[in-house]
Amino acid sequence: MAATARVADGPALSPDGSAPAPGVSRPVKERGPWRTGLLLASPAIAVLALLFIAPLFMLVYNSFRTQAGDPTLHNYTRFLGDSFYRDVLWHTLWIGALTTLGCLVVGYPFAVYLRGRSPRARNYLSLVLLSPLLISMVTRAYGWLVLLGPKGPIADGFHAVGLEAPKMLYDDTAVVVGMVHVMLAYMVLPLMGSLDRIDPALTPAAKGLGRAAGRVSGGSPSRCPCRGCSPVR
Amino acid sequence: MTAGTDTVGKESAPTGADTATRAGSTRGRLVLKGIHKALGGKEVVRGIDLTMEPGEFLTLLGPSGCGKSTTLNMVAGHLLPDSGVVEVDGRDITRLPANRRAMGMVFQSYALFPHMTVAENIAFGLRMRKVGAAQRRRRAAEALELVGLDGMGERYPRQLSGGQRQRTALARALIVEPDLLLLDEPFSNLDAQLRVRLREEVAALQRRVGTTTILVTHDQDEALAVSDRIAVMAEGTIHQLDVPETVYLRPATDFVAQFVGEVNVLDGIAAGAAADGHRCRIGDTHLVRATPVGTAPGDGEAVRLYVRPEAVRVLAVPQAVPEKGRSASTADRTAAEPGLPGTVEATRFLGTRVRCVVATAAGRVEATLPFGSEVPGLGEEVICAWQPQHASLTARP
Repeated sequence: MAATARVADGPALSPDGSAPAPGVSRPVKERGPWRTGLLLASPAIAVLALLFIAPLFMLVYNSFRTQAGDPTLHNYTRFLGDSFYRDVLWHTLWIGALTTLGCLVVGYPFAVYLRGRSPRARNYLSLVLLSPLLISMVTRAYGWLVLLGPKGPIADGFHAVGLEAPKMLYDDTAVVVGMVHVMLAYMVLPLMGSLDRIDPALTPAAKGLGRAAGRVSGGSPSRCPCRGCSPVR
Repeated sequence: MTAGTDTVGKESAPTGADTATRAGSTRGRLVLKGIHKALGGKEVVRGIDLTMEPGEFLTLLGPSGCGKSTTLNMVAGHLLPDSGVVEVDGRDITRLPANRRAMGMVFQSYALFPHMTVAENIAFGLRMRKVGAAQRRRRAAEALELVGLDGMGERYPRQLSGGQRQRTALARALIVEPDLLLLDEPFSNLDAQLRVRLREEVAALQRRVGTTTILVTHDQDEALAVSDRIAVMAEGTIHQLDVPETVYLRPATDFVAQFVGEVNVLDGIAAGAAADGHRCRIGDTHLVRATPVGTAPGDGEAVRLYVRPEAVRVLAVPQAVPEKGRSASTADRTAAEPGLPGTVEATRFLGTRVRCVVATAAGRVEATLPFGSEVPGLGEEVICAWQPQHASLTARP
């Protein structure tokens, strides 16, 4: 009896070394879902560790070394001390911020629209959304060159109404337009995931309690940004 | 008591305490006239006419897709009827948007705002009505107490159990003192025991506050237990609108009989009125009695009988008077009413009662034997009998 209880507690067999009581089989070692998951993911983890994480660490490591291999901070002082590099850094962050903003402005209404569609319509629209990612970068860039170029259809449109077409290529605007085009999917897909988790009954619930449709905020505006993309604020 | 609440029905016979609060329920008289609504090209509501008295608890009962939720959403203002009129207290609100109606709605998912505390959720309707913060707090605390959630105001919905969420949703709907309380399958996400307890609580609360209430459900037990009246719906129309007893005992249509409760359906031929019910021939030789719903059928007309399993008694075959069912003397005998002979095919123990299946000339008849009664053995010859008033008779559809 005592042996049975102990076996149930854990993998330990009869503590006195005697054979377990008849009918009490050796308990199967239970592998938690966490362990199983790790096992399944291990090939992918191995590939990423070898080809992505390790090189990144090497890069960081080398950045603190001279060509000869001596430790140094010279690379960093040079990077931050040179106004050219600093400008490039700021420009990169700026373009990134504009792209994010552009994706949000274009992507959020699209995600809200997708939420109410049938699964079939969502599949087709998602394909459209992902299509820029399926086209090679060079092809995509040339496409934009044609569209935004001085003889492109947009410039033609300006000319047709008697206006002079603005310069649309080789500046930040063109870069942001191209980036938004590619990055939109990365904005819309997570938004769709979040919106799907919102109970669709929340909107009628709020409306039934007196919230007018389309009103932006009923109370303190401080609560709106940090509380996710809730339809009720 | 006001004149309005007098009409509510016997279920609501109020105690002294109820009278004081329910006297306030002179508003919330709902009238639906000829409501039609098509969704996605299919007409889901096909002519609903309905009048509710102030303080009444009405249930829209029907299977999924019968148009009950659609009807509720038109009352709430979330859907616009294709035709017809919605009136509350004599005012046409058909085209009034939901946010300008005074409806308190409880959703199946409860639809609590996840980023607000329980107290904020409850006070939301007051905030929309520009009630001051101090008064909001006070009334939210009152509402929490009303539903038995005192001290839970600072929690978030995700920290509550299903029953507590349900109560929060109820408090949120009631705090605005709505014209009508609309409950859209509010118990279906709860486990069986809690469901029964909460529906009793909701019914008691409704009686206390006296708000006119519509409950939408597909659960006939729920409908029978809490309603003043039940509207049984199928395919967009109301099949029967009456007090629970009548809906259960005198189903108006084939659908109502089969949907509300279990029922034995027997086909026969009408065979003339008797002193205590209408006679009906089943098969060639067997006479049974039932009470006609509506106009009595003429002799020789094809009829259908509905008998609830709990109304069927399973009797041993009387040895002394065998097969005398059709003789004129039958009507004089009160002890053994005519019945349907058959063979016991199965018995099932169900805890509080025993279910007995008898194979007869008219097909299987199921009988529910009360606790403690003698259970006939398998294969035994028996007679299925019932009081004429417990069986209803309609023309065969």
